[in-house]
Order: sequence, then structure tokens, then C-alpha cells
Amino acid sequence: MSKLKSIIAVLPFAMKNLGRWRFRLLTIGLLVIMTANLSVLYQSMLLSQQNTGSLQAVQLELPYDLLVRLPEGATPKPLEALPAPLDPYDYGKGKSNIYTVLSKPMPFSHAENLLIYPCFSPYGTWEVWGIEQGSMFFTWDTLTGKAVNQIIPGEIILPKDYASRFGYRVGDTLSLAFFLNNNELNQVDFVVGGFLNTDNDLQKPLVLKEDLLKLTGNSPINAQLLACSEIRSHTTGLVRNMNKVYPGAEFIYPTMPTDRATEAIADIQSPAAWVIRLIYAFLGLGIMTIALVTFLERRKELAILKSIGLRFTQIVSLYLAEYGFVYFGGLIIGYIVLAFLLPYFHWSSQLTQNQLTSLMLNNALTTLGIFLLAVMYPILLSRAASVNQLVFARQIPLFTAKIDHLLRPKPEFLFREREENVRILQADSIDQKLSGAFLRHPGEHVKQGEVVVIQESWFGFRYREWIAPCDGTFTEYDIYTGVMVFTPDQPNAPKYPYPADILTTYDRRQVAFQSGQSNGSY
Amino acid sequence: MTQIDRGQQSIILETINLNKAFYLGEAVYAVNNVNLQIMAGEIAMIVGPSGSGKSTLLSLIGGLDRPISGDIKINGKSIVTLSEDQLALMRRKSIGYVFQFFNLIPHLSALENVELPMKITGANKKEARDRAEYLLNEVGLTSRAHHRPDQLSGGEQQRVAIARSLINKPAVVLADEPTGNLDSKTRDIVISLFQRFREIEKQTFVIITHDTGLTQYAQRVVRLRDGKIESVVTAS
Repeated sequence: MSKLKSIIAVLPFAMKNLGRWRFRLLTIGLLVIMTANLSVLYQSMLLSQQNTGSLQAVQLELPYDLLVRLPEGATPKPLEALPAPLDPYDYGKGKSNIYTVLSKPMPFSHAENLLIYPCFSPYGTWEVWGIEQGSMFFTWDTLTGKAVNQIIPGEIILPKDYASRFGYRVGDTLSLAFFLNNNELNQVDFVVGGFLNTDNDLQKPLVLKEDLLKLTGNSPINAQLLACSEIRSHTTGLVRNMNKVYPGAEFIYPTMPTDRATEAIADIQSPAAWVIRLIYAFLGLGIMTIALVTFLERRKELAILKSIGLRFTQIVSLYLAEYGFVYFGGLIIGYIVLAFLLPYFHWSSQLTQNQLTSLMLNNALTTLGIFLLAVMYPILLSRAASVNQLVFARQIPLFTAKIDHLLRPKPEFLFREREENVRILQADSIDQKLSGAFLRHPGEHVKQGEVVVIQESWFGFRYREWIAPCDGTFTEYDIYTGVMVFTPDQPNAPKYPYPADILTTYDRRQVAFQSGQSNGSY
Repeated sequence: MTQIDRGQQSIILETINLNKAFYLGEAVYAVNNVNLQIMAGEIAMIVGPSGSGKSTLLSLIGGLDRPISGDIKINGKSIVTLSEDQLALMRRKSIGYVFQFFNLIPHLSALENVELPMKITGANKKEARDRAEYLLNEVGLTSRAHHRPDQLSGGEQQRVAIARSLINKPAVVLADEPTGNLDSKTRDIVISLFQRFREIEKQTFVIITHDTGLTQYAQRVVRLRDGKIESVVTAS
């Protein structure tokens, strides 16, 4: 509770700063407003083009909700093994993504396995489907005019237009040839049992599955027909879920042309996404520049605040209150402005309210992430800096590592540590030059924990402090390798627990080398 | 960290083999193997020529900077291993700091500057305000309470800074050249303030000064040269 009170206590101070830096914070607000408008308008334009394109795509009329053409080697799964509706809270655990959460997978009510096989007919290559005898998906007319869905052995049901196209009639004999795996041709006569009695798309000649299995030498089942018990609204989510059960399969469903058109348009538009990224990049750069300049100007103020006991959580609250107020204000105003501007853009009428809301939400989340990243650097600097570094404008390393052991424990160093009872450090040395400063020199006595060498790297963002590993004498420094050797005052001074196998392997190689079994190479 | 005991003749502040070097392309030692003890309730002055390491020593004691080796103990507890957050807490509760150049927050009034250290602890607003008004009254600036720092003279700003350092009733007040930029009359006022608060609130003051004339007011005078202690003289 007291922590919460101390966080709230800095808010009045933050509010005073809003007035103090009103112009630069106004700049951030304007950036957020512009980003909100530009990105939503641009993305809505792209989305409306996708909508227009996909509207022109024709929906397929199919008797099934999903046809799965299995990849080679895959077997159809039973109904209960097909995807069940996912728990939205699985999002983030690798089980689903945001799209599958929004487009709930459909529970399947019925599944039929079938065999699809190519064959030669008098009129060219056909694809014949071997279906179950009492298939629920297909009905056809016979001479009696009665719709039937029970197929009998030796019978073939033809698509509706084959009567007019090829002149077939019920009772006619139709000869088909099937290529087998051993390149044998298996020719068989079927009797036309009827014609499919719907105007569905993608109609195929149908035979009994068992007939086709016998003719093709028991080819594996390679397709599955599925029916959903609910009306679906997001078939793309359906396919995504099915991809997990049947990776690499081909899916055919009624809205497939629409989805394919949307994907194709999105592919064409993908270079345009760089415009959005540039807009966000400008926002991020703008906020970061202003936040950084403000940090540099307020270094002394931060020093005073830290010297009177301001904690890190309070510093974070201060920054978030100052910049967050402007960010959220800018976002709200940006969307109000957008509401006035949108009617002037003709494509806005082609978007649904859901799509527009989704765009605005996306934009809000993205800009929030960019905003947090942009203010992170000044916050980290404020955290890392000591009071004097702030007061005297000294360099502020973001990371300071204190190292009292070998970072790359080579076997020869560990061997020497063991044999001579010394402790070894290895600083970074480039071209026989230590890029840093000695605080203690060879020959001097050092205390454990004392800084011996300071090195700066990453353009000053990182400091490495090499710490004396024991009370003792800093005996040696090798200019070529950066190795520092310390002789401990106490012979049994503690050693760093390096992995034991480094030295074990080295010892074995030494023994092998000395006994002539190895040429000494590593 | 617990509130520090005050008013006892015990060691309230101690440094052990304290070292501080700066990396400016090469290592520059500002504080070199300093061993120092300050007793509770005394006014200790650290004197020395410019560049002798006085300010650096005071910064290390106040936790405003980190030594490269050695220890600093405040009321027996080491502060060198504390994190920045823990140091901030320690400063909040136990240490008051008076900077050499006042370092008031320019857009806050004198009263707001004084009450700020208490407000950021989450303390009651009225309590903070009352304490700030009391302190401003003690330093003789009640009439200037609502003036901003740019509307105050140097001496007045320094008195506000002193009042701010005392708001949380710290056990130790560290003052870096508090009279360095003041005229002699204001200097005497400031010193008398230190003496008065030492009497009233039993605080320990560690003051850096290059003005050897002030040492008469101190119970302990530490002389620094080139980062090392040259001498320590205690008043009998």
C-alpha cells in the first residue's frame, strides 16, 4: 500500500512537468494523432481493396463443407480426433494464435472417407471419386426420377451436365481405364446409374469406394469429406485449424475463392505495408528523440530527486505519467479527428464497422508498444545512472558487469591455476592493447572484490569491471592475451567452480600427448 | 533499513579503506585508501585544497556514487552492497544532502522544494506541509515560501536547500560547500542553523568546506590532500 502511495505521490510532480514541457509534449501528441490518422486511413484503403477484390470472387456451391485432399502418406482421422473448439486462453501457449481465437473452429458433425483416383475415359482424363455406399453428401436421379444416395457395385454416377455434354443416359455402359502403380492398365466397364441432381460446383463421377479399391490395387484412402453442424462465418480459421491436423493437405470449401482472392490481393499489397512501418518508425523516433533530449535537460533534476530518495518505480511512474498522458490524449484526439475525416474518403463506406474497429484497435496497440519502447531508453538511463553521473553529466553505462573469473575458461589456464595455485582473469585485449584502464598494476597487493581493470565497450554502453578474485598480489599481466595472474595470500583461497570436464579432457590429452599417442593437436 | 540511532556517542559513520577512481581514458584516483570515523551528534568538517577529493568522499558516504573498493558503514551497516533502490531508501530515511550549488527544482516554490522529500515517501500532505513550513520558519524564510528559486538570492536558496535536507529528520546531513557561494553574513547564518539543528534534533553534520575559518565550529576536522587523509583533529 505504501508503495502505491509513493507512486501516486509523484503524480502531482508529473503534472507540473506537463505544463513545463507543454510544447515538446504537444509535439508527441501531434505525432500520435498523425500516426493514428495516417495508419488507419492507409490500412483502411488497403483493406477496402481486399474487400472489393474478394467480393468479386464467386462462392462455390458444394454439398460438403470441407474436402480434405490428404498428402501422400497421411491417413484420415476419425471425427473425434478432428479439432475441437479451442479455449481462447490457449493463446500465447503455442496452441493457437489470435486469428484462431477470433475465428472459432467449427465442430464437425459428419465425416466420410473417400478415394480419389484419375482414370482414362473416352472423353479424356477424369478424376473418379470412390465414395461410401450410403453417402450423405450426394443424391442423384435414376430413370425413376427418385433421388437416391445408395450406390451399388459396378455402377457409376455422373455429373449433371455429362448427359448433355457427352450424351450419356442411365443404363449406358461406360469404359474406364485405371493406371496402377506397376504401370499396368486396368480397364473396366461401369453402368451409368444416374446423374447428380444438383447444380453444385466441382461435380465428379462417383463410384463405390470398394470398387475403386479393387480396381486400383487397394490404393490408400486419400481424401475426406466433412460437414459442420453450425453455420460458419470464418472459414479461414477453419482451414488454419485443419492445417494442424493435416499439415500439407489441400482444402476445398465454399468460400475458398474469396479467401484465395483476399490472399492474392494481400500479397500484391505487401510492399505497401512498408509505408505503415515507416509511419510507425517516425513515431518511435520522434518520441524517443524528445524523451532523450528531455532526459538530458533534466539530469540535474533527476539527480536531486534520486538524492532525496526517489526509487526506480517512482521514476518509471514519473515518465509514464508525463508521456502516457500525452500519448493517450493524442490517441483519443486522433480518433476523434479520424471520425470526422473518414467520410471524406470513398473507400471507408466499403468497410464494415468491425473491420474499422479492428484497425483502430490494432493501431492503438502498435503505437502503445512503440511508445513504451521509445521511452524505455531514458528510463533505463535514469535507473542506471548514479546521482553524480547525472549531476556532472558523466557517461552513463547501461550495463556494468563485475567479473571475477574467466569468461572463457581455457584448459591451459585452469591447468596453471591448479599447478601454481594462482587465480587467473582474462580481460579483452585487441592488438596487444588493453582497451581500458588499470586501477591496480602488476606488483601491487589487492583485496578480493577490488576493481583491477575497467573496460568500456559497446560505444560506452557497457562497462566491464575485472574484480580481484582473492586477497593477494597482482603478479602478472600478459599484453598479448590480456591474462592477469593473481597469487593469493592464503594458499587455500576459494577458487571459481569451473566445469570439471574442461580440465579432465585437457589432462587426458596431456597424458596421451606425453605417451606419444597424440600429436598434441586439440 | 532501520532508522539510525541518534544522540549517542557512537560511531555513526565509518569508511574502511575506501577507494574511488574515475575512468577518463585512464584511471584517476579521487579517494585513495580513506579510513574515517564520525561520531553521532557532532559537526565534522572535511577541509582540503581544490581537487583533494572532498566532494567525491562526501558523495560516496551519501551513496550518490559507488567506490571501487572499501566499505562504508552507516550506524554499523554497510551500504556498498546496496542496490540503487535500497540506497534511495536509505537516503530517504537517514541522509540529508545539501549540494554545493543549491540544486533546487526550478519550477517548484521554496515551500514545494522543502516538502518534496517528504511527499515522495507517500507521507500525509498536511504533515509534509506543516513540517516544511516549520523548517522554513526556522531558516527565516516564511515570507518567501511561495517564491521560486530564481526569485531568491543565493543565501536564501541555500537556506531552502538546508531546510529540504532536514525535512525527513535524517540522522546525518551531508553538506557540500554550503557556504561556498555566500557572503560572510549569510555564511554565519548557515553555520548557526547547523548548530541549532544539531542541538534541537541531535543530527550529525558532515560539512565540506575550503574555508578553514569555519573549522572552529566543528568537533572534528578531517584534512584531505590528493585523495588521502592528511590529519584528523578532534575538539577536546
